Amino acid sequence: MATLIEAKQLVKTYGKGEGSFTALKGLDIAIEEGEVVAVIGKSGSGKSTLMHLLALLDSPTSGSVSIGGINASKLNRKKVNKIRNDEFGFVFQQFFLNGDESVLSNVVLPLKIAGLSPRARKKRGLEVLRAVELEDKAQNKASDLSGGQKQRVCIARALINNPRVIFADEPTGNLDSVTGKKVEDILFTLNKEQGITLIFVTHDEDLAKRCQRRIYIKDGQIMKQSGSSK
Amino acid sequence: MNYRDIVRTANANLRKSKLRTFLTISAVFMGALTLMLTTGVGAGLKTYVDEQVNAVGAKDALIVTVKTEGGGPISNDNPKEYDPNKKQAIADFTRQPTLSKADLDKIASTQGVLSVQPFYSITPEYITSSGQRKYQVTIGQAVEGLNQPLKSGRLVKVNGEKYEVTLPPAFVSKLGFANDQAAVGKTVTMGFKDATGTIFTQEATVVGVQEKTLIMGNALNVNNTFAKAAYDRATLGVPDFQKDQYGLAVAKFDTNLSDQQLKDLKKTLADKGYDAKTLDDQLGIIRQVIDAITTFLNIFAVIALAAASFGIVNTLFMSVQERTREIGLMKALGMGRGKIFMLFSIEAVLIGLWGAIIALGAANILGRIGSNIASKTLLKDFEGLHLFAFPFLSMLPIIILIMVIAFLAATLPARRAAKLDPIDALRYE
Ligand SMILES: Nc1ncnc2c1ncn2[C@@H]1O[C@H](COP(=O)(O)OP(=O)(O)O)[C@@H](O)[C@H]1O
Ligand SMILES: [Mg+2]
Repeated sequence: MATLIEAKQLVKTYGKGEGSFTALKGLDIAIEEGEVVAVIGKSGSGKSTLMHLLALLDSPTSGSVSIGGINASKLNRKKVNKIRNDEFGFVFQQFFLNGDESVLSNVVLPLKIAGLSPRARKKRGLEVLRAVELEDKAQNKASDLSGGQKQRVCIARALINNPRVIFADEPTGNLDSVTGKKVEDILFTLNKEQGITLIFVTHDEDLAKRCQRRIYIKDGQIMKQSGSSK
Repeated sequence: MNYRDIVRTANANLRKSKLRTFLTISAVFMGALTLMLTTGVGAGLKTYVDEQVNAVGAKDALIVTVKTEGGGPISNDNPKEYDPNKKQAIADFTRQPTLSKADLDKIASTQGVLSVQPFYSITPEYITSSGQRKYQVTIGQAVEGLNQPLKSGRLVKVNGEKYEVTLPPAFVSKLGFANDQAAVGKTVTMGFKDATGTIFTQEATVVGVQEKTLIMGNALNVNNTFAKAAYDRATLGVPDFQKDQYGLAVAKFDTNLSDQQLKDLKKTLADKGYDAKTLDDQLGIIRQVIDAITTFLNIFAVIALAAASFGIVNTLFMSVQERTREIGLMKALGMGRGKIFMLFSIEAVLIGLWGAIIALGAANILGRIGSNIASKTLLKDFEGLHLFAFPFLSMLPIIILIMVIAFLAATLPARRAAKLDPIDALRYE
């Protein structure tokens, strides 16, 4: 299997001088296409920082991130934006839904950014809402949904551009365990049926156990890894 | 994001915080309205002046007077040597040096001048008609091609055989005529003083009733034949050199002359010692005054707009603040800086556009009401004057100006939005 994302000697320091803080202290990670990886660690260990770097939302202080063999630091901002828009899907602990707008218009946001026509957006939007069993809520206001439903909307939004990889930062952190499980199931099914690479960031051991590979980090360093990328 | 979606999203954002949008648009509206009203007054006055000029016609007439050497009684020019060929300034504000017969010939012989007609200085003592009282009157002398708008009848035949006049409307009932139509064809009598101070009368036929206009005012128009006859009688026995004194003359020029040729003609006449102006030149002064007043008023309007633009800046900063997470999400999902910038600047431009459009509507309504009130009270002597005019072509630049101001006001907040770090925005709780 091909390596999708490869990080080498990742260092991330926030701030400068006296008040600076090094959140990542030289990590090497390679993620294969189609893998399900969990990044596990306590709060403040640097998981989100790592995810932001892998997802090209931020650039490392030193070290490199390559996507499909191309070093991201060599790409201009426009290219990076296009990669995030085309190839990545995001699910965050907070939902980041626009409560005043309909479920459908929240879901199609990445396609709107991509510049697709309203018709094409709607068609694809209803498709992904069907995949998360929320097609009937398409016209509801996003703020009227329950927590679990909201996170399913977020998954639909992450799915809409047929991404190669979905980054999920504490996707079940705000949900009770039953609802959380259901959300996880949807994501695992996507991996199985469509081969979408999943990168979970979590402190939840139960979720981690369901993943093929687990990367434990502490204080910005990899403690241990378990499982394999087959 | 494509442009249509950007405009739609910006519009939707405006609708989300209705009160704030309403208040900001109101501020823009006030500034825009002021600017439109002040510009509207200028346009209204200018349209009126233009209409008057067009109504009068005589595009081929130069009004020629003597150009005075020296500067008159309050001049501080250096003393000039006496020159028998030049006219001397008269140390009296009320009198101007006059044109002699020799002057008229000189003007007539100038290349480009077709004909010259002097204005006879005749001052009637009174006007009356049979069985009526005597009234004071000012008279004007008809000029070929000068179009006096009429309420009824026709213009006088300038060099016709008969003595003819057209009456200003106010004289119709005073002279005992039932209405405008009834006045036409009737005879009026005017009295003049001759050289010995004795009053003589001269009759004329009323051929038309004038409309009241800016340029002709309330003067009664007589034809050249009448004026010359009255002048000859009034100056009977006066030596020729004193008799042939005319305050001004009208020189007809070839209408085919280009602007430059006309300018040259005026220059030639000026070199010969005459001051020559077209009607348009004379009204140019009025236009300049209107422009000056309009510009002055516009300064206030622009100040109001500047104040409104601070409102826009404030509104957008609040909008950016409130939507930090939304902006962050959009950036995380791949939206570029330029598009984010555009999203906010278009929001401001829409505020400007709405303010301007509503102001245009309000200005039209207020202008109509204002024009009506003004023409019934303050300006009731100026028939056909609409105090406010809002020609679209002069309003369009204002609308565009307001949108540009709104765009400029948006640059700061829009830049902040564009530069927002998605990570910070997503961590923001
Ligand atoms: N913008 C920032 N400036 C300074 N410190 C930061 C910033 N972002 C994160 N950190 C710090 O970096 C460390 C790792 O944060 P994060 O990656 O969010 O941890 P996790 O997701 O594992 O809880 C924390 O100690 C956090 O306080
Ligand atoms: Mg975190």
